[in-house]
Amino acid sequence: MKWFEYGDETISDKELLIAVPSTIIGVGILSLPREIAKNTVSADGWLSIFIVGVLFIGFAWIIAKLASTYPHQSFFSYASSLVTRPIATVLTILLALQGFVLTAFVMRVISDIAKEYLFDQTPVEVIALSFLLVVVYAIAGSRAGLFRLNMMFFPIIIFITVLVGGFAVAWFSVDNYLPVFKTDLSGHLKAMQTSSFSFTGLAILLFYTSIVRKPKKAPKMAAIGMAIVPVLYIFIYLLCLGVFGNLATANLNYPIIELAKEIEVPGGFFERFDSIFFVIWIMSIFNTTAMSLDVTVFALESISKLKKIQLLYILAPLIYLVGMFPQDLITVVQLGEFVSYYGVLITIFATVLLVIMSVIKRRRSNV
Amino acid sequence: MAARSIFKRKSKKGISANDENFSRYLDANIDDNLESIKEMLDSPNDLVMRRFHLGEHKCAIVYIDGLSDKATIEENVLKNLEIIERNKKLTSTDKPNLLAIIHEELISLTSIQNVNTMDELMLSLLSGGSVFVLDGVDRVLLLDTKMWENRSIEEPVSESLIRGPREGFVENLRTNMVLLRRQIRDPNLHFKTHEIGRRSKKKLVVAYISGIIHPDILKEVNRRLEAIDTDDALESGFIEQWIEDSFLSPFPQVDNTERPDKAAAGLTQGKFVIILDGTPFVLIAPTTIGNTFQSPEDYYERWLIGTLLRCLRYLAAFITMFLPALYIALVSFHQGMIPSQLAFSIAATREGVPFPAFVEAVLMGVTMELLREAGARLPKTIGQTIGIVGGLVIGEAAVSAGVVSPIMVIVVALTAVASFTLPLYSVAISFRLIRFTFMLAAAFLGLYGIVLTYIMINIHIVNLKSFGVPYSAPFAPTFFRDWDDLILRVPIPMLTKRPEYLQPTDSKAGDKEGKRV
Amino acid sequence: MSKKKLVFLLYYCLLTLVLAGCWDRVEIENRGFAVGSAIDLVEKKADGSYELMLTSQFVVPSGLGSPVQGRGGGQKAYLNISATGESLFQVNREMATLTSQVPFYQHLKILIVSEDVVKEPNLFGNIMDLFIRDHEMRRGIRIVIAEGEARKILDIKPDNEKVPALYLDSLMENNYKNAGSLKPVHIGELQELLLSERSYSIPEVHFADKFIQYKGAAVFYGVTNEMVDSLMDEEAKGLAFLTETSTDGSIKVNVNGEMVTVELKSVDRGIQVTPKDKTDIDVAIDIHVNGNVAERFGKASVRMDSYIKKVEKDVEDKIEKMTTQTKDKLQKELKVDVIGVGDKLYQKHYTFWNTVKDDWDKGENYYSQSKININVTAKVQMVGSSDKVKTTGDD
Repeated sequence: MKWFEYGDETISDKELLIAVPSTIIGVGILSLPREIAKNTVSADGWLSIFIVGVLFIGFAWIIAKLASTYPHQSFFSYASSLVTRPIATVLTILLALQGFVLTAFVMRVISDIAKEYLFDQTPVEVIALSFLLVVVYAIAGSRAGLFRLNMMFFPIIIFITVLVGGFAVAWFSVDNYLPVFKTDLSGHLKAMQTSSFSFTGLAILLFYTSIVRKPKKAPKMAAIGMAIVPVLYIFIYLLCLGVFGNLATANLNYPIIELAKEIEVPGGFFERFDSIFFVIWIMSIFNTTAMSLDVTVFALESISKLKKIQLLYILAPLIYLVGMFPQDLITVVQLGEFVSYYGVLITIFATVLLVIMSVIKRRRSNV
Repeated sequence: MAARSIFKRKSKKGISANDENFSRYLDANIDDNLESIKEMLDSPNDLVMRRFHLGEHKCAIVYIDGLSDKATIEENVLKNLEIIERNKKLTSTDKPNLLAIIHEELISLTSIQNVNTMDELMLSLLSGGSVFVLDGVDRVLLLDTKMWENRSIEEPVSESLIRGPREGFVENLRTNMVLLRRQIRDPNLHFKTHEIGRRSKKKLVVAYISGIIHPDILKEVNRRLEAIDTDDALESGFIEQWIEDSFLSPFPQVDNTERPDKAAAGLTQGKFVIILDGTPFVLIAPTTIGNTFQSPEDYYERWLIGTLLRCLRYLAAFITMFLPALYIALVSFHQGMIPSQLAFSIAATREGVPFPAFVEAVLMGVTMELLREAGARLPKTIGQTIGIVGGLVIGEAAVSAGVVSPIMVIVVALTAVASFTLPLYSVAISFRLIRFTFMLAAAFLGLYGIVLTYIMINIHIVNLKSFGVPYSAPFAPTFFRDWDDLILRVPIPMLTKRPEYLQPTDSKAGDKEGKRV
Repeated sequence: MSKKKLVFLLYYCLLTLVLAGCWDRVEIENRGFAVGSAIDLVEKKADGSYELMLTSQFVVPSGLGSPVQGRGGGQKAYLNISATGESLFQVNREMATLTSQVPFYQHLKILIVSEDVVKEPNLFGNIMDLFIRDHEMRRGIRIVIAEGEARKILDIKPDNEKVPALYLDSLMENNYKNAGSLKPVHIGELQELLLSERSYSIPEVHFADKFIQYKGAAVFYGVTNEMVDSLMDEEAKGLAFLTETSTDGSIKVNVNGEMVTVELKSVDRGIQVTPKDKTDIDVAIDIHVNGNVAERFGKASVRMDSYIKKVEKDVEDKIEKMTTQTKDKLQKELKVDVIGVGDKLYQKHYTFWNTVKDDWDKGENYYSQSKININVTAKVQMVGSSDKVKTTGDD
């Protein structure tokens, strides 16, 4: 029923803007303050996040610019025109793999955290399965619907973060930010390295820019959307640091959840704000998972003859298996590291390759 | 998608045996004509055939007693014809001409049709018209003498307001159209008529303001209405279920109302209104989740109060859907989240209750639904008693018998009260339905189950459409400009734009300049 | 939606329902709510391990009395269960076998640790691990040190509260707000302290028949997390001024032979550290207090400027005396940096701090060699609603 002006399968630029932070903000930030606090002195880590953030904003702009120079063309079609069909196929598969592993990893992490904070006996398998089923249900719907979901959940996520921040004021100590700028370069570099892993997910821009109604606006929107991420990260990071100080932050598994646990809402209906916070954060993680799985499906759709639903039937059990494969926490962490390294590298690689080819092509056609 | 599959299900088959009678042309012989009318209707005793002579011409007036207005027939038809007969003016004229003269000059009625098929004749006869038959002509005159008993305009029962017009739609289509016209005196207010029901042949009118409504919406509704194939549409609910986008959804995709002011407001926003003859409930569409929380009173009261009421309703919707589920999740899974003192007192009151919280909640929830249903079915005076008996006696007895805990009674009562504050009955029912889903999810996975179910419902909503308009608009796709009338209700002079999500052709509802002087 | 999809969806849903046998469902009435725990040392074994006793206080909800049924009049509202063992986690599990309910620690309010336990080096830090690590525990659990047996405190019989642990909890909260006692330490803060190897203090109480009395502050040495001493009365008060952990309270001074009580409204403390050399560190502690005249024996007018000045002067002297006494004890005798001079160095003189941090209040102990000066300023803001209450009085 594509008779109405906002028919399905196309998205507005606003929706693209929200989709970027929705995809990127997920499980990464839950442990990010710890990873950064480990490598930096007092609260210096914000600088690392800031620098990485700025780099990624530029990166997001480049990706969206690249994709929008071929308006309304799918990734596969413009990639084929730039770097021959077989290479484009390989690229698509590699990028799809990233979404695939990311989905599996995020699903596993969310189940582990849920088991720790909400459950005691319930097996991880059940927690993961019920989560994955909801994700699959979302993807079985329309693609535009998925973007609308982002729009609906994102404000809630921001709201809960700000709420936690507001309540945390009573536990806040400015002394925790002192001294400033004492971290050496290697500490910053390490912090930047770890924080860049919390920015995985930009690959969606390579694919979804093709269904944006006004592709010309896409680069700007992608950059603005990307800018939300470091802002939120720095906010959460400074919040944790201000309340816990550097040492405690570095030793808490999920500082932001512990922060929610620390605060006590006066006269509240609920105690243990950590449960509320985590439950709402599930929406954010759902967004990440749904977007990365959908981009996988979207990518594979373009190179195979299978339909969306068929692909979903094939992928979902595989994701579940991959996610359930790690037996212990260490393997999960290793999987996470692999996902992050791989995700960032493949996205950079694909983008750089295509941008170079695109520049060369344009030179040639100008001559 | 779903609607179309219904359309496919019923292929158009030939109708029953006397179909051929309907499509046949009339005879020139008056006796044959009258005979076939009688035969088709199986000569019921309310069929009146008054034969008389007009000069040397045999004529007859046929009508159904009770459907037509006898006085009109006497005053405006028979008396006039008698005068003609006395004057003997028309004797020489040939017959087709005579009919034309009678049509144009002699019968003083506002609406007369000259037809030649049995089909049209029957439709008119059965809807209260009378038929003038003249011997020797294969055409008849259909006289509009409709006059049947109608309910007078009363205050709408299902949607009562403290402030607002007291008149409601009635069963009569014409009256309803009049009520709409009285609200909007715009020449662009158009009514497109459809005929619904293979047997009932009911009139259905789609009202819209051309120049505001998006033409595609109109095209789509007409397409869907034409696809309706049913014997009878007893109520607008039939129409609603034929034309809605997804019949699997718990959410109503078409709004209904008894209030002309609400219908008119919908029209000016760029929606269409479907009026079906025989029911006071008109349909308004496209509708979105935001409309669920709107009541005409929000606009009649000042904006602060209107906004407050809106917020209250969002809260009520939240309570209706989540409160019992949260109770289950907190009491059975996450006891740490309940403030300590409250946790201890809940534990104290639950001591001795034999059921887990879920069973307790379902038990009370079902009881509440039973009471509500019983109260709705019974006559008003008894209905109230049921409410008191049920609420007080059962609740009190259940607590002292130790079947449920007092906190549970509070939860259920609060939920019930909250669900009654939702202005749309059909939506309130959906929310109550969803409540049980949440309860089930909470019983299995606690808060985690609740949030997953919430996500699932959101997934459903974003994929749902009402005549092409996303059901989740204007939340997502986000139309920030429409948020002035969503959770907030900004002052009336500032509500200058029609809702953007309906993509009206003319978006300006008013001008900020010169509005308030 | 295709029929096949629908079938699969239903199948999945059913599967979830079957799989999810609600493992974690425990009805609220089956939970044993622990509100207070006490840790005592049973014996120190020859191999260096410790036998500990954990006593948990469980609420008996029906004993609290619910307004509906009006029951629970005579019933005890709590139940204390003790168990011993080497690992607290094991002890906890063992406790579960002793009660019909599932022990539940999410409502734990207070943790009482016996002096005997904390005087052993490193033991305190180790047992706190469970309370910090376990996600069931709140970060807001208050910790107190008990003189003597900790579990006895869970047995007091207060008149106005039915559950001793809840009584203690509100006592600590209110005392801190009104009576000038030391601020209670939360387990969340304790984690930060344990991690930083910084010395700290925890309020100490002792058992007195029906009541709990604040005894003072237990001072901990940060490196080993062992209690080195406890500060009493005046010393504890001095510590409160030095660490800015108490904002309220009162100071009693003698002005011209008349007793005047000044109610403190705010206490601000600032530390300036000027490191010249490792062994030559100047520390200036500024304490600024604001207060009102609350009670006065005598008849001189309090409206006179000179009188107020005198009161202020006396308050300053008194506080200075108290704090200096405390400071001397902490710095010279115990040699633990509870005041937080090291923190200031870290915050303001980071590079210098790095050179001394390994020998701060350990090793060379530069801390004890630093020069600490205390400067107190007091301000009396209000004198109450009347000037004099009487014209004659004992001089």
